[in-house]
Amino acid sequence: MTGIWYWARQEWRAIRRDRGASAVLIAASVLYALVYPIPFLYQVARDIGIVVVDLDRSAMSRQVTRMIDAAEQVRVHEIVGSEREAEERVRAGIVHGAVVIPSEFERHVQRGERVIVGVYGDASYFSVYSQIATGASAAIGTFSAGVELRRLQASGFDAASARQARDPLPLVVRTLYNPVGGYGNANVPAVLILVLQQTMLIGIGTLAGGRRERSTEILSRDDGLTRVLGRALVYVGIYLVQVVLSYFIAYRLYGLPHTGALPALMLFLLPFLVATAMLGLALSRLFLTAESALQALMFSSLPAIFISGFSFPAEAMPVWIRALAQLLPSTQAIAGAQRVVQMGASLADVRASWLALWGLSAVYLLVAWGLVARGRRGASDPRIPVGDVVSDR
Amino acid sequence: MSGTTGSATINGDADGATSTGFSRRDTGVTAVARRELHRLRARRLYPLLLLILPVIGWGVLRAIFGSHVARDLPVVVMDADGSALSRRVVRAIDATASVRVVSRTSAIGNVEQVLQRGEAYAVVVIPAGLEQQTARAQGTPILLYTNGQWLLPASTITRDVRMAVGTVSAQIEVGRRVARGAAPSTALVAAEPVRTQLHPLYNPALDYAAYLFLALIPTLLHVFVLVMAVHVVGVELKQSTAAQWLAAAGGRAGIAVIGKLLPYTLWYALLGSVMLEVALRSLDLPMAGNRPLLHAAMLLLVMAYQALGVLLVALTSNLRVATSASGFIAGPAFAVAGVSFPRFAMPVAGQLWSVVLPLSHYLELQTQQVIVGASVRQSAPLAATLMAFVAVPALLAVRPLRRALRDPQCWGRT
Repeated sequence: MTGIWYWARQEWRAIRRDRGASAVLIAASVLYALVYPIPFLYQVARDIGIVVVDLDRSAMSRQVTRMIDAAEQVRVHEIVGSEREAEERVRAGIVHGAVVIPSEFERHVQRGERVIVGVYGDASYFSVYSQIATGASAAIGTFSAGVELRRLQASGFDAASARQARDPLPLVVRTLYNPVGGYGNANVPAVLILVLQQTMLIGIGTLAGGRRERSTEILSRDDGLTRVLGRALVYVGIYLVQVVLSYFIAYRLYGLPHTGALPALMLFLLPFLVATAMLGLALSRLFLTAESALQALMFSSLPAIFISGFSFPAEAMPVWIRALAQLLPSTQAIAGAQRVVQMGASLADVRASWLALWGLSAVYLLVAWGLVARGRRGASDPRIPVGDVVSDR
Repeated sequence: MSGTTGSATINGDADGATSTGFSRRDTGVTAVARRELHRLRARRLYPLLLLILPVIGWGVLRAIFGSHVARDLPVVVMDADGSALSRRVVRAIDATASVRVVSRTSAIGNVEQVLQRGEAYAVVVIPAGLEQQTARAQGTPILLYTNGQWLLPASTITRDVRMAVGTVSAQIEVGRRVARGAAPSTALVAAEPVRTQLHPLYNPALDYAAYLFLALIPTLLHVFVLVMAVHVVGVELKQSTAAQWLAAAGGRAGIAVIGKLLPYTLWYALLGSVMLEVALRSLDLPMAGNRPLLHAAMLLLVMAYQALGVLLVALTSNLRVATSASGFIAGPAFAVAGVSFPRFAMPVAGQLWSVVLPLSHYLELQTQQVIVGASVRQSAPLAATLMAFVAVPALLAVRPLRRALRDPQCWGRT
């Protein structure tokens, strides 16, 4: 145990002496938590501009237009007389969609014939399309229901049974958690977990690379295990503080929805931090300069966040990708942390993820330990440390 | 990139000097480029950043989005009715493309717990007495609980379950009207007098590969372009080899930078274009617009981030600090670029953040050209913006870079 404390103190001193590493390990994730949520504060796109192609110009078509304009997702920017004009405006990016009310609209409705209203949305941006589709179809659906109710009531039904007759098998959709469909609610918590992982991996690599570069790497005669544990202890400690800071910034300062389960979150994320620290210590053997960890690992945020399945679901990915995803601490951590903080899941509910993260911790501990032991044995061998060879001349 | 760009055609290879050294006459873009290509062999970092890591990143993202759309999302059904009607509804739900019913219980259990444990993205609850009450026209709603924390599964499942239940509902209503003596065709019309028909423009299948994967390719690439530009310039300062580098350029900083970065410009623009083209072909995605413009824009994107990289090094004279800065610039770039969340829905600070990134403008152009099929004229302002993103940082870098290359005080910083 004294050995572990000794190495922990050594590592902490080294971090404090290395401005580059301490910037990444101590300041980076707080900075991210402060700036990253800003673009998504409004959560969803509202009042998206669309045009209405009114080929009927009747009282009824104007009513539909007003109802669409009243939907919070969209705003009728202009009423045009032809589909060609609408297409031009969409293509030019002036508006993002169009609703086409056909000619003879009112006459067909009054004669009880089916009328189709076309809703066109720019699907090159999905969030824009889905807002237009939701807003416009809800407004048109309301109009349609009104027409049918009037018709049924005219033929002798009362309002309630008319509603029943119109839709005998009603479906009620209840969105639990993030009911507004907020992009920030879904995205920011996931990214902040990823940021914890990436900054820790890069920070550990920066410190180790810098030491090697200055040839101040400490070679010791112990078995390596106490050294790995001692170093990991420091990183886990620093990052428990980062978890608290990120939590307060994202959930309190920016008001993201949360259930207030900070102790549960810290307990859940503990094996995530241990696994990441071990992975970082293992990877750090590869880096021979202070900046090479950042250079080699910076790109990995992109595949790491999408492989976690928070955006595009894991069920749609091939098996080998899902297996690869399990090697990253972020995958289980993102899924579990969202459940704990934003959905109020208990630790028992996320036990599978928690155990998987302890499993990863064990695997990466063995890898890191093995590599340290190898580095020690090779202390007199000029070929070791392996990895990159700095010979920029 | 800066200074005396007019001499870019000087060929210093006249005396056929070997790549290890150069005579006095052997200076200029070619000499610097040749010196750079020689340096390439020195470290394992170069093949990693030039080819191996970009290809790995591309391959992983390609595999993630290879299925184009979300399918077989797990949904739990709690069917307390257990009737012919409820089974018909469950079959209809299970038959939709996005849903896979993973478990079906006859008791109504704890819906929240199913979602909190991540067993499913949604729960369908069919109350007891559904069939009876529907037959008596009393209308008991079927409940769909979705987990809005996972945006895409929630919206896809909602859309498909609505459609499935709506179809069964319409069949029941039509059946009733026919039973009352209406002709089937008029009964169908009366069921929904005004129908909405949705037309997703430009990406009719709502294909995620076309939407996200294509945008992620240049995003991935720009990380490497920036890191590499910062590295190859910054390492000359760090290792105090700037004087030697400048000597190979005949003392002209502009020639030095152009000669050094040119091989990477060409390589990364080629790599980016190839990665895009292979993605389009292997995923059977159509290219709606102008190929030459797209690839020209890719070249401009590469140059813009190289110029930014040079500026970062020139301002900091410190490889490590400049690399950290590039991490802060490139790391969150995709999220604010406006692809996954529209720029116009951001607060002003977010919009500013978005527009100062060259990537945002490139991605807008790429979407216009690949997906929308916009005219060249329409994308011209975006191409011009990208040019400005090449020119402005390059011009800003001139003075500090000249100083950094000549002043030994700027060297050896870590």
